[in-house]
Amino acid sequence: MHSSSRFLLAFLAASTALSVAPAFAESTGTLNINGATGLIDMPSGEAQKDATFSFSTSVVGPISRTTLSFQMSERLSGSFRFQTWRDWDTIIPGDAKESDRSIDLRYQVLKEGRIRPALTIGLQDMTGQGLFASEYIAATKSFGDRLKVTAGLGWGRLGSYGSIGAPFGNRPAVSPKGTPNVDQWFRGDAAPFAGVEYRISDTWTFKGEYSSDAYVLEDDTRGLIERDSPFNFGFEYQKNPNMRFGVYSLYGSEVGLTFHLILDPKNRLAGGVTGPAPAPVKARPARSVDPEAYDAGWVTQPDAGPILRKNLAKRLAADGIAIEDLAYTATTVQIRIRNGRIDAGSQAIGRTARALSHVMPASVEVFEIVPVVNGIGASKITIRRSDLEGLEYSADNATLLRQRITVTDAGPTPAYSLGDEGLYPKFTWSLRPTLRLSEPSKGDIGLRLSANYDIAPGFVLSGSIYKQLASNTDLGSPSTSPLQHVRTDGSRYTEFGDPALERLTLAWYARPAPDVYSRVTVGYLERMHAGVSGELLWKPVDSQLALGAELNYTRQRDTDGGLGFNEYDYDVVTGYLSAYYDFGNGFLGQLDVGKYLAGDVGATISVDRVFANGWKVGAFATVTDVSAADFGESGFDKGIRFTIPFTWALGTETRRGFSMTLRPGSGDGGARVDVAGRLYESIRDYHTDGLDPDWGRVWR
Amino acid sequence: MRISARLVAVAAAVSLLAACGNDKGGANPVVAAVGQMAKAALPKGKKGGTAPTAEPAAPVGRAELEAYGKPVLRIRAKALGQDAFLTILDTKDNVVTWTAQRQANFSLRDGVLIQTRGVGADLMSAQVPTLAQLKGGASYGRIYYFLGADDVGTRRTYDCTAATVGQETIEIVGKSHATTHVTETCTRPNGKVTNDYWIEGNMIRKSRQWASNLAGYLEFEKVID
Repeated sequence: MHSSSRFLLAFLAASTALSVAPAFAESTGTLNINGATGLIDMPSGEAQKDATFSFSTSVVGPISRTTLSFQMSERLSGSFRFQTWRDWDTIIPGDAKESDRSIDLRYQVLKEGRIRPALTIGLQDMTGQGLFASEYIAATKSFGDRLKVTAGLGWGRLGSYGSIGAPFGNRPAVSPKGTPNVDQWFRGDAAPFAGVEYRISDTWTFKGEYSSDAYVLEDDTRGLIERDSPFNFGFEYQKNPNMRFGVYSLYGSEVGLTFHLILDPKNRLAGGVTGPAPAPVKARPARSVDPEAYDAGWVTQPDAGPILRKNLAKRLAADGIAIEDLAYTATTVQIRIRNGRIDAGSQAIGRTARALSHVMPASVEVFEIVPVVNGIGASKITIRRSDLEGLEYSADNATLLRQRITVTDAGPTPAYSLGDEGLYPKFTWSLRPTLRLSEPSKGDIGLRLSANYDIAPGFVLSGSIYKQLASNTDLGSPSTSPLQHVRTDGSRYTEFGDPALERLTLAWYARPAPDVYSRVTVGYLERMHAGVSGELLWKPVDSQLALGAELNYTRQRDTDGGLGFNEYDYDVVTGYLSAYYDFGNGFLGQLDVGKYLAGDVGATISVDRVFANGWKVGAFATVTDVSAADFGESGFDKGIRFTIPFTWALGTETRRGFSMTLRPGSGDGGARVDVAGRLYESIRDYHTDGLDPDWGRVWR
Repeated sequence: MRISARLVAVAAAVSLLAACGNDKGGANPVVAAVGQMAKAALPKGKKGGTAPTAEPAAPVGRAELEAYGKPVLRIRAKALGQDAFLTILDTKDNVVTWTAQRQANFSLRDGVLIQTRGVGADLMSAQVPTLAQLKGGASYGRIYYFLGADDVGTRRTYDCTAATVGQETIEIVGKSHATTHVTETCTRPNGKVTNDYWIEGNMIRKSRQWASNLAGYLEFEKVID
């Protein structure tokens, strides 16, 4: 996944744009030092507001925890955590540092009622080696608008102090690691915990709790901290909806510090869609008043095309839109556009339609707008000019216009069209500072030189070179994976390949048939693999279902970032059949079945929640015929991924965003070649499921 | 920890280097963000302080505005910290679209606000009363259509009543106008909006109208006809 230093800037912007962010809504749960909804170290029965995305970091003596949490729906939430224990060798010799990644899931069974408390059941570190594993049931009731009381029962770590016995039998050791630890859940000793949260003022909150975690690992086994008391208390400060700070006294011996960055994907930090106002629609004179204006004679003028094209290009350039093709008759115009900047397809279409109303002679009644991605038409939006004129100032103009337009397959480029004027061939390049993170606090910063050469519509030669400037990554211990090291030598590629040729590919995109899209990519596809990748996608413009097939032949590249293939003697044919489904309400599902890079066979299932403004948060899991033991510590390939659009954070008009994929552990099973420009992603924006959620922006 | 702190510091430093190249796929967000702030300020506008009365738009007198020879509408938006003079960009029937140098547009139907563009959470369209309904103390429904903070279109429906408050003489940039003050009270189960209009003959001379959550109330004064 591409990362970028802009992520940090987005966060910086978050802290400066707060004055315009809307005030926070009714009381929801607050986060604990583990980044989950709760008290200090204990969970609570509450949930976050739907879609809340939080980034928490806390330090307790030699223990630090960094957690990403997402409220997937009103009741279901998940967390992904990196935990580090320093001074790990205090008692037992060995590594000075231990780290662990964990996944939590929690579900709010009951929402708080007048008498009824909110009740949540949760699994903490549900798939890991068990260093942080707990299960719990927690209930929270508020009294007035300041006081909340929580009580709960915990197992695992949360059942290790003041236990009341083991109601569901003994807790076996974790085996195998990396898969859901179903055998351990709610087994072993259970212990009660409790706490209060009191809102002192709008900004300050007091929290106090009785913890049922004995910290056996940190105190008895490793001697990292002294656990002298089960009581924790402290204060939290939150002045704006996006940042919360906490300071606590923990276990009678430690001071805990925590910081939460709380983002609401549904609310732009920059406060609504920014960017300049559009030009009003140009009204034609009434035909009865000025019939001559409707004369179609202009079509025969030889210079009409170039003039119209030039005038349109001038108007559209202001919105970052380029014209790929222009074709017209006396009554219809088809314009093929490349939208370089506006994040919403609907707004790009609206701006194009407005420009056409200014430039096209009055006899042209039908506007066909074809957004072009990678040289191929993604869809065709047909708007009647009189609807555009008539609805501009009507109430609910977006809904009314949507009812009167059609979205259809783009179809072929009209034979009589006026092709590119400086678009092909065209060379573009950029040099950008880039942040590559392998986990929240590990990665490198560097410069990426990218270049693109658009040879002809659909043919793109592109490449990028990356050079590190600063890094805190290291080679680590060599991979012991029994499979071909298709991914686990990643740190070798990072350390030895500097600078590295990341990609150098020739891609060909085409439309072999209606509703069918194709891609062939040849070259250095990604930093570890090179070869040929072909893809076919069937996706009618208004279909919730899409089907795809991919076939790749790749060889593993040398770790030095050069052109060679001497280090590994490995080549493989991989391929997948894919089904994509839009469940509505922003939930997208994808199922891929096929053969993966290490030669393993299996399937990947992924679910993403996509917001109209471009935010995307998802999870994926791949199960193949590789055994959990061969895969490594994390059992099978799984992880979470998210995309934050820059425009959401900064308000600037750009289609770019920050994307990141996080895995609890790496292995060589279930790996796919990371080829750029996969079809579904690139065209979906301009199909009805991509256009409709923010269709209102057609008039923006 | 120390290493990662250094990493963050270097990241921040590196990111301040502007990206370069001829790829126009969106400006550098940092540079653009600054530009955006500058652009968002309406022309001639000044950031309104916390003072309840906004600062005057500019030390511009009526004579200068008249000499300009074109209609001028003054807008004051406390929530946006804006005070500016607008000019006409487009007229269609009884809808006039006023612009702040094409960065922000405001469309009014017979002086009643129906659309904003470029103020953040924009009022995308609206079902509004006619001038006759306002003058006649009518009861009617009003619907605001917004682009929400999540970019999804939303609507708010209100039940409204117009009522005449009385005759008032108001002063706009050094000129007195004899007007009828009409107030429009709109309610829905969990909200209330009050719009005020000062009507001179068949024209809304001055008004204070709600636009959206973020933009709040906008104040319009027709300075030059």
